Amino acid sequence: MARRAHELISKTRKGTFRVNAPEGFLDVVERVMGQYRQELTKGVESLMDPGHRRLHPTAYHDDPQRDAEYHSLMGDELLASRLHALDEMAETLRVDTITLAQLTSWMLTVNGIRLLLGTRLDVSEDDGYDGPDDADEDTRDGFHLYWALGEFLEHIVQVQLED
Amino acid sequence: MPTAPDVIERPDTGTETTTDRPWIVLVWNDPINTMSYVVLVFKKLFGFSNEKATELMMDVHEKGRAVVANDTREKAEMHVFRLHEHGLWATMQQDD
Repeated sequence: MARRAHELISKTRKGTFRVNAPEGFLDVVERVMGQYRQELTKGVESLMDPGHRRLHPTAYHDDPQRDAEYHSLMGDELLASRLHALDEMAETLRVDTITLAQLTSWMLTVNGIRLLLGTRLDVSEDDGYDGPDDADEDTRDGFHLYWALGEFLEHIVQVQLED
Repeated sequence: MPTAPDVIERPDTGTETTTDRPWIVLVWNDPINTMSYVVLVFKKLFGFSNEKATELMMDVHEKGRAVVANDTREKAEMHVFRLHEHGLWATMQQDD
């Protein structure tokens, strides 16, 4: 079956995944990945940031003490997992084909960036491509990036759901 | 050497200890994660069929939350960690 022209990721006969995204788009993704890395490694200063809290959500919503214990035990591991996925995506961003494990790292990274960005933009399910009607230019640009990453993520998801 | 009794009778304390109750893992609705992404994560992490994963995703979307696992506290914490790793908003609590 011929590959659809709009597929940004397609599966090969060998079971790997071909990256068909335009170079210009990958340049944008690479830039955003750099910003994401800076955000992830900010440390304590990020604890009050809603975007960071979304990346490290509550585990025990009815038990603050257990929740604190959970985050003290698992917080570093969660951060290490995000950084590992980011590293793996950065290393494979310009190669022609990637494995399922590498594609999973791409998926986790793109989704993590969307969570951070979407939380800061305070997106709702009703928001369109430009965001709220009264959005300023920076906010509109943020929404455009958010939707572009969403479309990219959808291609990464659909190629795995096709199996 | 004393021999073990055939049947050990558990004393009836008249109270149920909280550790006996299983833990449930909940996934909550959020405006960022897409429906297809949530379906894929449910399939990958829990081995659900496409139908089951879609049904649970729709519960999250329409009812605001869904129970995706029921397990010991230790295993429930691991499920929550894996869901957080994938960016889903998951919590755990003891079953009522």
